[in-house]
Amino acid sequence: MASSDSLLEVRNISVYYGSFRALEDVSYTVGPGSVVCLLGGNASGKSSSMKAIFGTVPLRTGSIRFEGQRIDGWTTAKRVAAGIAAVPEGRRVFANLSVRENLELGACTLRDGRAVRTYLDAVFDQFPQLRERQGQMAGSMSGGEQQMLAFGRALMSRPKLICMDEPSMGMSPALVSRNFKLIKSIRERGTAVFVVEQNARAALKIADYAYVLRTGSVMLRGPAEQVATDPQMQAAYLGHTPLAATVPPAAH
Amino acid sequence: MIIAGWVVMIVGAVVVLLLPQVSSPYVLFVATEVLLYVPLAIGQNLITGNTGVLSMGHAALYGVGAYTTGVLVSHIAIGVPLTLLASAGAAALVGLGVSLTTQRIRGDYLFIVTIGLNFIFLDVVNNSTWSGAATGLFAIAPPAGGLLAVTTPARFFYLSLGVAALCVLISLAILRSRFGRAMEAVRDDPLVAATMGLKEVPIKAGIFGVAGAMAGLSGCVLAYFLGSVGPQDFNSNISLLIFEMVIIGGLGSVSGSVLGAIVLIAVPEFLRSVQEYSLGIGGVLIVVMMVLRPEGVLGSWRTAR
Amino acid sequence: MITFVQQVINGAAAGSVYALLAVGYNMVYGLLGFINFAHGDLYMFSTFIVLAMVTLHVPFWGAVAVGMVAACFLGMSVERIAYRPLRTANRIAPTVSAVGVALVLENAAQVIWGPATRPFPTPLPQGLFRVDGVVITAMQIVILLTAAAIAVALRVGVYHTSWGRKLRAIRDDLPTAELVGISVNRLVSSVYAVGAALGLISGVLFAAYYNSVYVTMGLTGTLNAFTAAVLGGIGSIGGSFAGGLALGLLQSLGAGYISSGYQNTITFVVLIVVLLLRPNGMFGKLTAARA
Ligand SMILES: Nc1ncnc2c1ncn2[C@@H]1O[C@H](COP(=O)(O)OP(=O)(O)O)[C@@H](O)[C@H]1O
Ligand SMILES: [Mg+2]
Repeated sequence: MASSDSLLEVRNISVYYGSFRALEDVSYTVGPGSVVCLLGGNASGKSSSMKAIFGTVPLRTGSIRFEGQRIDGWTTAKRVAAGIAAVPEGRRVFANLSVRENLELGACTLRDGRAVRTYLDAVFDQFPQLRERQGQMAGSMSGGEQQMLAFGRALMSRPKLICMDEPSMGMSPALVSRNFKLIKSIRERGTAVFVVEQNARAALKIADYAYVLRTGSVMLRGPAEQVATDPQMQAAYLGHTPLAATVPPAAH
Repeated sequence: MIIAGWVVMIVGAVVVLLLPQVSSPYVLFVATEVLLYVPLAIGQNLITGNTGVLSMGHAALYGVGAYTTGVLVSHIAIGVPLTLLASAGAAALVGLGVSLTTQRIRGDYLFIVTIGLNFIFLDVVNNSTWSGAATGLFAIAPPAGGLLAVTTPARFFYLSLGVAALCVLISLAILRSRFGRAMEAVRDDPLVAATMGLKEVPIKAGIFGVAGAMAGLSGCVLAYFLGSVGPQDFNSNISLLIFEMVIIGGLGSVSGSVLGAIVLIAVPEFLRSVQEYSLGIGGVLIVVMMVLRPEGVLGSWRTAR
Repeated sequence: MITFVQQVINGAAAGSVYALLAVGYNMVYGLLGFINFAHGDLYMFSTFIVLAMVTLHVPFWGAVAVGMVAACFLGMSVERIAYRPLRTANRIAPTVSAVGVALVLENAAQVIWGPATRPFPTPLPQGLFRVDGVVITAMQIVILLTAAAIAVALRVGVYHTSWGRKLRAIRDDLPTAELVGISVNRLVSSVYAVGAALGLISGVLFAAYYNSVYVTMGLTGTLNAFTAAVLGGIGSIGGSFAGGLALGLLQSLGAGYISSGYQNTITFVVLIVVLLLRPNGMFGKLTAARA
């Protein structure tokens, strides 16, 4: 499967914490400009998958390619510079830095200062609230605003791929639907999104492709509409109770 | 295997006991010096290795013992057993006091604070008349003919050996007792220890007291051995040296501490060419051991601080 | 009154020297929650390098430049070799490793330059002024001005440059800083270099002020700077200056009014009392502690 047309190609990776196996022989493919969602119960290895893509956990086996290049030996900074951005789990913004500084840090891998200002303006245009609050400490904003800032920060490097780890965790339904709209708009600009979601139903509606993890292995994969109607999936996640109720928010 | 172990131990014990008969005065001198450091390393190991307290003020406790002997001997005609006891008692009290005063200070800060103990000790003895100020105290000799009258190098050797063996036995006994398990529980996780009803403060204070007593014994023998005590014998480098012994020997291990004392005292003595570099070589060893196997060297230390 | 003013001036000068050394501690502590126990020995060692250069007839400022490059190089090497592999290990391990580094530096200095106190010839102004019976030396003025200039430069560096922004981001949240693409290792390395360079400036000022360089100034430097850091709030760069000055004043007033023989005792009693009352330092934030 020499897919020169895929943007991110994660192949047969395993991740261990000491002797504990968090991921075993897992593969993902994200095409350019597509939305791929990663589903799975608590502690199934979703965050570990994200960490593997950014290189903040070592791989025991497997390889990761981005735009055809092997990146698994690269530092996190180099991967970000190549065009992968993160919206980390738990909307981690730099609480004691201003909103503007947070956004500028999102572009810290860029060399061109003028471009940074242009991109900053674009983010401010997209999120006018952030422009109003650019001098405020990020930690003093509401949860929804911090999430917006985390999105804005990821957009600042004009990445080709944004990886999001449970952006909707702990958010109100209104904010969750705002997040999904945002993901759609990001895709419309040609940026691919790899998103970890607990809200399987909503995620499958906007995604092109989906993977479902169970205890460190891919249990199910396929085009989103196919996964949504899969009997296994129906039984496990898409019954009458929404996923968020059956799967408590992950600790990691 | 077990028989071989016993054979090695018995042969070793015989060699050590016969050392004064078979060795040169120089070797005996070095052996005595090693033995003087055994109670110090063992005490440091109880504090740092088994109880998990980073402390680097052991030379001060050592000095308290030595000065106690120096002051007592210059004022009253008192025998060796009593000075040993008094020195151990004085150093134990200081250890206890230090631990109780600093109980609320966090791990790595305490490290620095205990280094300060060396400096405070030096300030006190350098600025007092009872301690002979910068020149120290002289002519420290036991009364002739008294019990344990240490007058010959061989007798010094046996006294040091006795003190060192006593400290090894006490240390092993503590570690095998419930108190020893309590110490290690506090080291491994103070919160869990607290839920088990173990009180961190008295445990730490107790162990500082025991380690102080051991250091006091060594200090007493040292004072007789040298016949004098001075501030230079108890500076922070001595504390560093003792700390180094315990790290190199492996934190938590009694035999390792003894080995550490032998390596850091005897090896530089006999290998004159490396003597000048011994502290630094020890430093390199420490870094290498930490970087290669921090968990191995630190035994079962699991907690983050 | 005259004595008091005199002691305040002396204390402020000594305190400024401590402050410049304390900055190196606080920057590292703020980032990684780790006390770089070898910082004082690095300061001693690099000051000796300056002295060695001067002895070889290298012009003074050239010698300082060499010393500064050496200090940065040493600081970064020590971090790379002895601390970085232990960044995620048990908290005790890097502290012990730092002790090992301190021993190596101290022993090396002892072997190369000997245990004796050496005079430190400098072209820095040595004159003095008298104002109403109070003596102010030119060196004291140099020290205070240097410290003030560095304080301003650091303030600008930390709050108004992209380097400072990254530094504060790492201090806030190291894993996230890594995820946004900051080269954490490179930045930590640069912080060790800056700390070592400021340490060297502190060492040169110290050596010129007291006209002496000696091996044990490493450990006493570590202790004074750490106490200053605790007084000012461990991890706080601005606190280094407040803490350094406070310590300098306490020592100097203690020497003037209590006894000059108990300088170290005063330092440690202050340290212990502060740590007992405020476990995170005088002005420290309670959030400064990290697991
Ligand atoms: N740093 C870590 N050390 C040890 N185990 C970890 C670590 N991070 C995650 N794990 C374990 O790996 C498994 C997968 O975790 P994670 O990838 O965070 O799952 P998810 O994001 O799907 O909830 C869990 O069992 C978790 O406890
Ligand atoms: Mg997770």
